[in-house]
Amino acid sequence: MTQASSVQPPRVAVWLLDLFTPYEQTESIPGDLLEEFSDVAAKSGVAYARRWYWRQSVRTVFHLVRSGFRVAPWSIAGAVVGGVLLVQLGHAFTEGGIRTWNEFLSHHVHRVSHFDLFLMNSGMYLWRLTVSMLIGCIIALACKSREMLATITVSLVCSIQAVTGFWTFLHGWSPPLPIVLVGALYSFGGLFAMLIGCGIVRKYRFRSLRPDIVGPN
Amino acid sequence: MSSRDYLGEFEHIVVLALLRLSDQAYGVTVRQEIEVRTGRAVSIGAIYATLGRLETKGYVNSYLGDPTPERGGRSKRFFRVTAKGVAAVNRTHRALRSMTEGLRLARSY
Repeated sequence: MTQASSVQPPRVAVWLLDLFTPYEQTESIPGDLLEEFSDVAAKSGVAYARRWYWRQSVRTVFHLVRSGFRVAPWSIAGAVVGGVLLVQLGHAFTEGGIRTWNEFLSHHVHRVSHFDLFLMNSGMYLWRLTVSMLIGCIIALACKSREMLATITVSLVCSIQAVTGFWTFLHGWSPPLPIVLVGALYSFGGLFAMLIGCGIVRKYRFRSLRPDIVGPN
Repeated sequence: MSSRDYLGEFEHIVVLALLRLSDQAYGVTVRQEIEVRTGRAVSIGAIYATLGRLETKGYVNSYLGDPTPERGGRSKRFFRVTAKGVAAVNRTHRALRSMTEGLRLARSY
């Protein structure tokens, strides 16, 4: 084995590419890039080859996203509308749960320590993240092959609401940095949880599918 | 005959690359052929997006080859131009010839 062929492309770029590559092209696109990467590394050096791989990956992801919207616009639009509704519903339930729990505490428990409050808030936050992750899984299950594209679009649409919420939280007072970080985590954590949920579904689907090898007619 | 029967500019280039490469047409070779002959830097993503479109239209078909170690055990996807694709190339050529006939293209504007 030559030195060039033992060199691996940048892991983050490979991961990024894997996220967006449709199942029918999981053999061809990463394989083609790896093959050319080895050639470029042998001819022009590893550093150049890594930069080349990054450029190719980013441009390829751009084309995959564009062609995804072009090939399946209605299924993505449906997933986005359904996903945003699910997010609203999920968060309404979570907020309702938090409110009910707080009312229960204020009526039935007379002394609540700071530690108890911390545990309750953390629990509620974890619940919110779990709901978001489940929504990500549902979107991914509904949108075969283009699941990451659909989930990212839902996340971007929901991020408008998250940014507005975060800005409202910060508006009118200047909280200390830890509070800002907690606020950011609360506002944006759900979006990342949704993407993680989608990533989990994609990973398991990817493992279960075997590409059908069709010979020349 | 509808306007869809003509190939777009990049589709045209990709189909011509497939015809030139014959049995050796897959992502890497198509990309390199286009870069060498046109001097235009293209990404694998652009090639596959176009090939996917052409396959949907029935102008090309594809099949997977055997997995190879230099590709991390992944297979090559070979592409071939169908009879419908060749007809589309001919139609596009005829249209271009007809449109350029009598024009003095060397004239500078």
